[in-house]
Amino acid sequence: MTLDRFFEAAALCLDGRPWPAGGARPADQDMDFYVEAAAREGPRLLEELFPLTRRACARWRPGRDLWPELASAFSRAHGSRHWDPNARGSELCAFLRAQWARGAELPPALDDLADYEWRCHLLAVSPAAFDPARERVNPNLSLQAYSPSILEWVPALAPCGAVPFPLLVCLFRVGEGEVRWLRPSPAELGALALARGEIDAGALADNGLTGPALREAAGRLAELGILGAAQ
Amino acid sequence: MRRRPVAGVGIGLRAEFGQELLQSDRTVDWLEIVPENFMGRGGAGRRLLHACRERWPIRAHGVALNLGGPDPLREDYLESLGDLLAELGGDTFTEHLSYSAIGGRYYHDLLPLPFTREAAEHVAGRAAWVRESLGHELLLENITAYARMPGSELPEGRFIELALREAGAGLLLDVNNVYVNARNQGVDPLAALEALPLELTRQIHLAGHHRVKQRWLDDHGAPVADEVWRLFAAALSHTGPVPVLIEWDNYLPPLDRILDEADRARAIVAAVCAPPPAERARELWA
Repeated sequence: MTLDRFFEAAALCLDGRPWPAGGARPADQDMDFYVEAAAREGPRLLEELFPLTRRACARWRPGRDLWPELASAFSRAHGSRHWDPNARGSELCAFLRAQWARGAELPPALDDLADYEWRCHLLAVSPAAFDPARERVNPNLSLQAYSPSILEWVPALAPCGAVPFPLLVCLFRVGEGEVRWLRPSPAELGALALARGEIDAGALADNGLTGPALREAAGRLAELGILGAAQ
Repeated sequence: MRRRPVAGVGIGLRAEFGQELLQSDRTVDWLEIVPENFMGRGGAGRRLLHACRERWPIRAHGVALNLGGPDPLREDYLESLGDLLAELGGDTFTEHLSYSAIGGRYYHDLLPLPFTREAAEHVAGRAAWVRESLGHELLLENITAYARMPGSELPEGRFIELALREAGAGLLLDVNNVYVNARNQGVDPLAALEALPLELTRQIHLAGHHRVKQRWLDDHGAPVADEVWRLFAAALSHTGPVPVLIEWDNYLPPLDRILDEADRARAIVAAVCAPPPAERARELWA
């Protein structure tokens, strides 16, 4: 058997299909070790990357844990295409939305929860550094709109008072440390948009956000580590 | 970056005990990292790496290069790896005599190649290219194999020797892998060890294993077994003093327990590799 033929056969076998007929073959029992390890690896990794999503699946319907089935289905559908095994996590949110579109019964806001956890991971490992003395905005920042139902799984995000729709969450990393979150006020959103050059002061004033309110909001964002001194 | 040589006994740097390690005053000669955990990444892991780099020499032990695989070596991977190696300032890079991906699909496992001349030449050619492009000495590890691949025509030792010599690479001798393979294949571990090209050894790895049902598993999740310590001593009698690494990746115990293993390895190296008295006297006289 040439090396090319060997790899063709091994790829089939590792995906759980039989070793092609003809020619030498490894003992099935031995190859099973690798097939089973490959099948275990995907769900194990997802569990590490998405602990809250995993917990939501376990708690949603008492006595019926949805996670093992979902994680296996995802792993079968999304084989790893990157040397970094964590890269697979980028596709979980879209997978859950597709499951939803197909009518699957899933915990509310599970896709948002997966997105939230994935973004937290990306921010935690981002190679970008933030120098508040030189930069206007922390590059390790992600502003997302989530369904208020996500509060069922991440109650810490709960605001005081009524929950608007959508629920805006600003995720950011402080230095090389932990990932934090902020539910921004309208003034803070305005100050952030201004610092990022996404809007001008006139447009904000038209919406009732004037200089003093924006300066105060920008000061608070700078204290938190979202904006730099250069803003 | 100054190149600091590696000698003595090191341990694998793991996030779980990184901060504690920085506070510890126990002897650690060098650290190993899995480069894929740091390549293209910042954050707390990077901060820990930088802090450790100030104190110890650090070497990268890759797991995802896919050196023996059929796909072209990934340029983005090698570029990122090269950046990290430059940051570490080392002189060696270690990987495995195995493959981990086929047709762009990664299995995140160290998969065994068939022991054929064709496979040895294939992996050697790629290894030589990697060695030259990284500008580092390359050491390749004998892996744990839970199945002998079809078409194998060579003994494992001969396959490894062919691949290493043609690649211009050294042997990273994983003594636990030798033991686990020998047990799983029902052969004598010492004979299996001595069938390897030990003269090419430039580094030794030690780890723990578990027996699950009828199989020994190299899971890096236990203390080094007594039989493996004995095999280690036997290996040292052939290789002389080379850098040694204690690998403990799963079911992590308190850091001190891992450092106890490193102390034991250091004591064995000292006992086995101590120069005979006459030689020691000459050294003192000189």
